[in-house]
Amino acid sequence: MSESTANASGENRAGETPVADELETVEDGDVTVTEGGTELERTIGLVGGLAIGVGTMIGAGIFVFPGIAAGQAGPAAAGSYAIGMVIALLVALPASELATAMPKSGGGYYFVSRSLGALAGTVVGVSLWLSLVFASSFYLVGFGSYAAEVLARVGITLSFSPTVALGLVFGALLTGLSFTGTENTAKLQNYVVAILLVILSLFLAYGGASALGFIGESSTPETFMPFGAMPVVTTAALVFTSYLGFAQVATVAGEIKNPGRNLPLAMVGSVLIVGVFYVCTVFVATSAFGSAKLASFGETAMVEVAGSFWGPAGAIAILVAGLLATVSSANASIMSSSRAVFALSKDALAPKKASAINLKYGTPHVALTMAGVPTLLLVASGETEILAEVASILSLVMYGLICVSLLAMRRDEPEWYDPDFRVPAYPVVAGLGALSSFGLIAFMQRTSQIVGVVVMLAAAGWYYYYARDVSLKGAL
Amino acid sequence: MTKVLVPVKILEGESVTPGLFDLLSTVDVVVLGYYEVPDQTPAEQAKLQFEERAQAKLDELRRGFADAGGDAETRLAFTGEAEQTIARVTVEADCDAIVHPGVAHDADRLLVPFVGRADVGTVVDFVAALVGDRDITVSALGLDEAVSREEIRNALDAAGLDTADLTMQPESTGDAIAAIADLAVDYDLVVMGEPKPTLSEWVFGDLEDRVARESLGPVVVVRARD
Repeated sequence: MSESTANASGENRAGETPVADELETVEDGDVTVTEGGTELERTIGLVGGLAIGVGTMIGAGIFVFPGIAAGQAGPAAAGSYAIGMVIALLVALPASELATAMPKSGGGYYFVSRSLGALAGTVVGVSLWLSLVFASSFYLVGFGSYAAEVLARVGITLSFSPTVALGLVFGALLTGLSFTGTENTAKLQNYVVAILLVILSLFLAYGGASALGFIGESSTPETFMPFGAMPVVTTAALVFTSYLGFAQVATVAGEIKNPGRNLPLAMVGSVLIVGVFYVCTVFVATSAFGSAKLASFGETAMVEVAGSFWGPAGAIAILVAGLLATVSSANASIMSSSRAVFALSKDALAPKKASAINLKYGTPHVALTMAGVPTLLLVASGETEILAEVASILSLVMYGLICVSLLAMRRDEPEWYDPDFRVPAYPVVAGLGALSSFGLIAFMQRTSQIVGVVVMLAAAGWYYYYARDVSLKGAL
Repeated sequence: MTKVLVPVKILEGESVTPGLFDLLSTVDVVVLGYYEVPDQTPAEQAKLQFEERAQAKLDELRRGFADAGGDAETRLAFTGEAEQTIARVTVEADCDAIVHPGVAHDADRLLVPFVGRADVGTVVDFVAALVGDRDITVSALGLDEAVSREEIRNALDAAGLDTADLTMQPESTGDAIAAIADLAVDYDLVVMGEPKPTLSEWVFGDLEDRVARESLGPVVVVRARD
């Protein structure tokens, strides 16, 4: 059997086999017609794709971390965010090429399982599922910090710290809504992203002018790297969560119109947009206050910075932006996480039941539960930095393997491999992408590394226990 | 040959009643069974789980049309945006009209209101093709200030619908929907032209949707061709 006709095969412990994808023709980029004649509408355009990428990324990463990052790396924290952007771009390019060759739901999991096989696929699929769970928890704790700050500012004092409680309540609400909500949240997401970009642009315009000395008092210049180069890299590892999200564009590849053009533009474009915003924002924040003072404000440092520019109105604008951003990121991550579960279940690497849809609401209730419940358990831990780092580690492993997948595909191109977009100088880009993705993990905290390794070992164990006979390599 | 599209929410209990099978037996029918998924759900996932069930129901509908002496083809779609799917299939299958299914028991009385700057000629030609040589009563209703009695009468006569009766009520344009809904209970089917988009439609929803909702019966909207 040649690779072009190879199909997913084998059966798992429950006797289920992978669902073979039917041959399909894409007509004018707006619909996928399967062999049986059933039509699957493609409904997401370029703007929708960018909104998914930007909306998932602009979240707790930029609203929670500037204070902490400045405390660790000084003004060079802006450089830490820039390092993250370069790594994200090195991965976004290979991911774009693979996504245009395989525009299927499942994103990174799909490429890795098809080019490196079912074991690597299971590890990546489970990692992706849990990475998004950890990320959602991190966003919800971020939401909690902002909501607590709102309470504090309106003068409500509680006998306990409300951060975790507020995160839990909102997480439960979001999960509940995702079961029953048939409203078009994608349209809402577009508006949220637009509002966020406007608020951040105003913040940057004023703050930038002030930092460069056009408005207000000039701030005292500070050493760029007060603690040396090492903390800049460890901070880059910490704040990398801010870039998790561009790969989510690939998980909706099956629904994107004209994927050959829109997928690469949405993925690379969203990394560039948020990267530039992040670097500028941190630069402005560290210029407004010294980094030591910024660090003392903790998770809501951005609110203090805005307050120093415009008084209460600025603080309110950033509070609103922070609440919107963390909620939209958490919501997008819970939904993407359920898609990862679906992709695993479709390939018989997880029980079929996991992808069941209830007819009344049309929502995948089992997969959403598998995303929502662990998210709430992790929110209860309240460990911002660990949650963020574990989310990053699990995604970075997938990113590294995506780059390896590209190298494997290109070295021995199968007949069906015909991407609309090809990465220029691919061995360099994909090689650097893989090295930097795996390399960044080394700079994270020991606890996060241990949790990440345990998750991956458990995923491999699951594969050997449940689905070792399933074969996916080269199966389209 | 005249062709109509019948979009049906196939998994949500929407169906086609006997009167509509009979009414549409003179034209080619494309039955579009669709299932609209929310953002949380990939269309592919819904297809995997519901395709067989949906296809079985669609086949049932096709037999219904065949038993009434008509001819129907079926299409099945899983979509995140039903409107986009219906618009796309209408163009792809080159349909002349879209049917909003509603309850119709018989097939002998048609109401043809002219409203919303509709194209009289296109609508009348469609009605003539639908009626064919059957004994169906056609009642035309002029609600459109821009359209004169002579214009409608001439179009009806030219299309061979000279027995059709014609009532003019241009003063009720403001509340055309209520006027149509009041009358529609006595008819089996409402046929109207595709209205030009107006501000109030943007606010209250499509005119034809509101007519279908208030009159409870099926409504056929004839596409404006340019």
